[in-house]
Amino acid sequence: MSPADLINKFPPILHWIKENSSFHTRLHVHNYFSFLFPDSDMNARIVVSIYDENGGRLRDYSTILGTDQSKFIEFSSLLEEVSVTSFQGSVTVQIVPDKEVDIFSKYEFMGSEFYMSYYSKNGGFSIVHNARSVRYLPSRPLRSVMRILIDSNYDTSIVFQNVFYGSFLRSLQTLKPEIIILNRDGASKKLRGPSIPPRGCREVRLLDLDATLGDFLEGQPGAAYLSGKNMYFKPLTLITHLPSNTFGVHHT
Amino acid sequence: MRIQMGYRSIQLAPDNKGTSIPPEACMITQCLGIKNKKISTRFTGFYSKGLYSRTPVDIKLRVEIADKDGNIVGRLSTDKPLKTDQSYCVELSKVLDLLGLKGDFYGQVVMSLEPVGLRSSDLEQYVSTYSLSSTDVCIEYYSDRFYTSVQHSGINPANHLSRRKHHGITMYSPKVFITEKVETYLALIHPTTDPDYDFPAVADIKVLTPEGKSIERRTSPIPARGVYFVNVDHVFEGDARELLRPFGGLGTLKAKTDGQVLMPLVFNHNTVSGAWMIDHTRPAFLEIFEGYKGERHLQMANSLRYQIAHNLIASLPLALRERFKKMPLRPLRNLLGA
Repeated sequence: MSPADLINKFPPILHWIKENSSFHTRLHVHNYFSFLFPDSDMNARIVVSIYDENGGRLRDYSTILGTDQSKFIEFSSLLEEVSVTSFQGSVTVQIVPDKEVDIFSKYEFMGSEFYMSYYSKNGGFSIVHNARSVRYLPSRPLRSVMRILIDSNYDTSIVFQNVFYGSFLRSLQTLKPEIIILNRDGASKKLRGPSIPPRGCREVRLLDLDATLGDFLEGQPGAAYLSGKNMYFKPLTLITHLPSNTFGVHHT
Repeated sequence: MRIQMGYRSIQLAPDNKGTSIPPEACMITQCLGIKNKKISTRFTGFYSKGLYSRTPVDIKLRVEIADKDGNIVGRLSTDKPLKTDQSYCVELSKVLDLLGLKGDFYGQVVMSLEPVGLRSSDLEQYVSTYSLSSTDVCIEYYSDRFYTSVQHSGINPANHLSRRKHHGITMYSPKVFITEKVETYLALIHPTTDPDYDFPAVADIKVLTPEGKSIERRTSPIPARGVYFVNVDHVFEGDARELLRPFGGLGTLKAKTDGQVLMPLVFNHNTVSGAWMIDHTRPAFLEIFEGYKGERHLQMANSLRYQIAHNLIASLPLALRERFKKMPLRPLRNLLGA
């Protein structure tokens, strides 16, 4: 396999970005092939594609990292170049080596490892590692359970992403999330999230879906079970600590 | 000012009869607990009927605390089994109070959900049958200035004498941030559930600039069950900040061990706002996607769908086939996502 074809072995890995005057997103990426194959002197090509919340492709970006090199990419800069300042969307990242080693031929597909950090002017800072790859064909939906905190100190949002990036039966691939909220006593509430088109994403504040959730949870941590049609991805949660206006972004 | 959490913590009592965690128990979370003026720690978990609906036994929560040098300072457990769908919250400060430990603390906290009445030899089969592989615990670090949490379930079994010796691990974290206002701390947790394992570990720590230039140091020995928790710039005696200064303080941290496994956490501390950011790092590894449906499968599917449509039309009775040919193709194309 020629180095140019290696990109087909490293499918796009999905993450979420948000940019506005007070909230920013930064990609942290390192040429970790230097650690894995220290004798190979391997460069890594970083391929980034940005999609808006309805799945429209906004722009691509690519760079090369040499041995042991890293890059910190501010999405505010990438978006400024296409005259976008306030934005929520998805980003796909591929980290592709420029040389073939034996182990690459052993496996059909491999991942790309990176981190995404979110920070605000108020000192809020959170970082999460890469999540899952995009999907080109339907597969078995995933269920996931997440921690939520909603009381006078905390507010929780869930970030839903439709990871379907293919064209096969595209019109049928709308994500329709269902959320079951459980409180500490085991009582449940069922909520419906918004429909999200392929490649799209939405940050959904749980209190906007049901304003009584704070009373329902009685100031205790609760759990959100997530399922639904075309749910192929475990969402992120964004938990804001209201007194300090700091936040944590969490994966499951 | 302490945050008024309003959570009802679960009732724990010192477990004087308790022994160490069964070697084969898999429902274990090993993590760093901190209690001082800047950071408090609590653990929230959820014993979920949805996740564990086939569980035939009662589940008991146990907490084991070791200090930074790996000495077990106390064990606690719930008196009553957890109910299904019961969430629980364990506040480290209350646990330390129960154990009579005063003052600042950092060390390893091991939490386990253990089936009551099962022999440890049953656990492996039990775990594989019922997928009870994680306590699903969030480790939350907070103060009145910040909130952050880490969700991880530890590495088990790790550093276990009955297992094949581990070849070691290379962890990397491209999120070092060292400036006049921001500090980066590294925590290396030395986990084990084997009571007979008692070997210290060392790690080689490297700070790399975005251009690949680096400086390297070796840690002091980290005892089993202990924690190495340091300000990265202090380890390098100020050289790390100078090295990263031309790059806005951003860089990559690498930690490498031979023969043992350590669990790394990276802390970024904004000294102005008082906020801390904490996340686990990942090893440098090649993630393998088994059964992934990639572009090649998509191309196959695209060619197949026209074949299927063609065969479908060809199999229709003649009258219907003629009628179908007169239909506009757009609805069919929409249906097939063309």
